[in-house]
Amino acid sequence: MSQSCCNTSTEVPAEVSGREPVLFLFGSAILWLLAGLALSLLASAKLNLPGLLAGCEWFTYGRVEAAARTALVFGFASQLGFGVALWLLTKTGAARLSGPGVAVIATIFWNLALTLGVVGILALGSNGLPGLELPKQLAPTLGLAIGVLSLIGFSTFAKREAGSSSPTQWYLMAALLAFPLLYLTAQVTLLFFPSRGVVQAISAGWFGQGVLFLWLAPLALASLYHFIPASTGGAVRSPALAPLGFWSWLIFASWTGAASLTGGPVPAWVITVSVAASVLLLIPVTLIAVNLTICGPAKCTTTKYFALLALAAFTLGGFAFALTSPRCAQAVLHFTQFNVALRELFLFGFVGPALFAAFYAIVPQLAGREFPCRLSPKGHFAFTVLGLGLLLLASGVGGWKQGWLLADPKADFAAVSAGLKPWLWLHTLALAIYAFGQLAVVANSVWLIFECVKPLRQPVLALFTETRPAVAGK
Amino acid sequence: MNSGPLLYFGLVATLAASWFGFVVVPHQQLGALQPETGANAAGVEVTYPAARSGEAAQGRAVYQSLGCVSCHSQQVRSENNGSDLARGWGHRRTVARDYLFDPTPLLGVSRLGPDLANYGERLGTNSFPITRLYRPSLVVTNSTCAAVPFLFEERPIRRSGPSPEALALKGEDAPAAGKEVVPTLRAHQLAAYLHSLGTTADLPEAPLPPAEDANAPK
Repeated sequence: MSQSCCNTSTEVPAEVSGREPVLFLFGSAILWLLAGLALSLLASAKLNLPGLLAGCEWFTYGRVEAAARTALVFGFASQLGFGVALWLLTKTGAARLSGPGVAVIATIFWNLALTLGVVGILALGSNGLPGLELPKQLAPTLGLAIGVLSLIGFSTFAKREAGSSSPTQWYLMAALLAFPLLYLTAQVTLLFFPSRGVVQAISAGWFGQGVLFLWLAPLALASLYHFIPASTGGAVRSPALAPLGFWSWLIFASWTGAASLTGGPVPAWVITVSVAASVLLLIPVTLIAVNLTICGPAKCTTTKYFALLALAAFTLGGFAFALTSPRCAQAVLHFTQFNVALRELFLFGFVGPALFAAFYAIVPQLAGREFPCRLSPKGHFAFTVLGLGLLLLASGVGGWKQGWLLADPKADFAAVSAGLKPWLWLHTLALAIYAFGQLAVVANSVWLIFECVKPLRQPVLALFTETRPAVAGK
Repeated sequence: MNSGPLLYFGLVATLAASWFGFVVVPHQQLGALQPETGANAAGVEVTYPAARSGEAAQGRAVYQSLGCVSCHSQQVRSENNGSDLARGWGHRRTVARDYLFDPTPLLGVSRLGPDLANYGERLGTNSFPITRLYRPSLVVTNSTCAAVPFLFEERPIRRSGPSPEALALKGEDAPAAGKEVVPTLRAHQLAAYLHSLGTTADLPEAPLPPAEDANAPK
C-alpha cells in the first residue's frame, strides 16, 4: 500500500476517495499480468518443444495453459477492471467510494484465493472445465470477494448525483451485476452440485462466454465510453444510439453461450440460438463503434492511443466473431487456432488496452504525480500493437490453414501438425514481443512507486541510523 | 435511461432470461436422460452407456488432471459438420447420451491433437503403445503432444530379471546400465481409460450407418 502516500491535501475530491483500493487492485493486476504472460509463454513454447520441462508434472501443457488463462482472466483483467470500475463510479457519479477499507480487504482475499488456486491448478491439475479451473475449495472465497466489490460498486452508484446516469455507468452496472451472478451459478451447477453429462458443458459455455461478453466487455466499453470522449475532447456521436447499443449488446451477448459447442453433442436449438445471437452482435458492435469513432481537438495522449486501439480491436473482433460463428464456418474453424486468435484479440487487443487507457489516466491522479518515464508508455503501446498483430497473424492465418487441412480427410493428422508448426513458433515469438511490451508498464509503475516513497525515505532511514539511547541496555 | 430501478430491472431480466435458457431448460430437457437398453447383435440384452470400470475411471481422473482436454476433443460431429466421420474418428456423431456417466464431459475446444472419442475402439485388440506417454515423438513423428515421463519410474533391474513392462528405449533415451523404465500405476490407469473410449452403440437418436449394423452394438 505504499502507493498511497503522495497527496497531502485534506479536501479530497470524490474521485480520489478510492485511492487505496483502486491502486491496490491495479498493482495486483499488473503482477498477475506478468504471471499470466509468463505462463502463456511457457505453454506456447511447450507446443514447439514438447520436451521442455517435461519431467515436471506441475508444468505439463494442460495445467500451464489452464493456469495462464485463470491468471489472465481472474487476476489481470478482472482486477484491473474492478479498479477502473470503482474509480469511474466515483468520478462519473461525483460520489465518494463506499467502504474503501472493505474493498482493500476483499482484494487481499481475492489475491490469496487466486494465488492458492493457480498453484493448485499446477499442483493438483485441471478440473476439465475450461474457464472455471480454479479449485472448488477456493471458489467461494473468490466469489465472496467479487460479491463484496460489486456491492461496493452498487452502493457508490446509488450515492451518485441525483437524476443522472451515463452510458459508462450502465455498462458498469451490467458488469457488476453479471459477474457475481455468473460465478455463483457456475459454482452451484458445475462445482458443488454438478448437473449430468453435457448439461454441464452448456452451463460452462454460458459461464465462459458470460465472463468475456457480460463482465470484461462491459467493463472495457465503460472505460471507452468515458475515456474516448475525455481524451479526444469530442463528444459521443449520438447519445440516442447509446442505449440501443447497450441493450442490444447485453441481450445478444447473453445468448451466445454455446458458441464453443457448434456441432457438439448438445440439443440443436442451443447451438442455433447461440449462432443467431452471435450474428446479431453485428448490430451492437456497429452501433457502439460508430458512436465512439470520435475526432476531437485534444492532443495525443497514451490514453487516447490505447482507447482507439481497443475500439479498433473491438470492432474487428466483433465482426470476425459474428461472421465466423455460423455452422458452415465453424465446420472448418472450430477446434483450430483461429478461435484462439479471436480470444487473444478480445483479451490482448480489446479488454487489456481499454483498461490500460483508463490506467494511464487514473494512476497519475491518484498518485498525485505523472509517470516518471515519458518514453515507456509509447514503448508499451508500440510493442502491444506489434505483438498483437503478430499474434493475429500466427493464430488467425495459421488457424485458418489448420482448419482447411483438418476439413480435408485426405490430409492425415501428421500433415496437419506439420503445417501448423511454423505458425506455433510465430505465436511464441509474438507472445514474447507482447509480453516484453508489458514490462514497460511494470517498470514505469515500480519507478512511480519509488518516486512516491522518496520523500519518506529520509525520515525512515533516520529511524534506523539515528543513534538511539540504550533503552534495553543490560 | 436515467432511472436506476428501470436499469436494474432490465439487467436482471436480461440475465435471468439467458440463465433460464442455458441453465434451466437444458437441465429440464436432458437432466433425466436414461441409458438405452436393447439387444445387441448376439441377442444379449445390454445397457448403453455403462459406467467405466474402476481402473478406467481412475485413468479418467489422470486424463482430466493433466489437462489433456486442452488439445484433445472427445466429440464426433455429423458429416455436414467437418471431416470427423470421414477421418474415421467415429462411426456416427456423438450425442448427449454418450456422456451420461462422465463426471465432467471432456468435450474439448481444441484439436492440436486428434479427437479421442473413439480412441479405444480404434485401438481394438492392440494394446495402447504406452511409450508414447513417455515420449510421444518416439511413436509419432512431428508430435506436439506433451510428454508425461513422470508417469514412469526409472529403477534398478531386479534380480529376477528385467520387467516385461520395461520400455524398449534406444540410444539417447535408454536408461543407465542396470536400470529400466517402467510405467507406474497412473500410466496403466490412463491407458485403461484410453482403451475405454468408444461410442459404438446404435442409439435411436444416433443410429449407426447401415453397413456397420452387423458388427454393432458391442
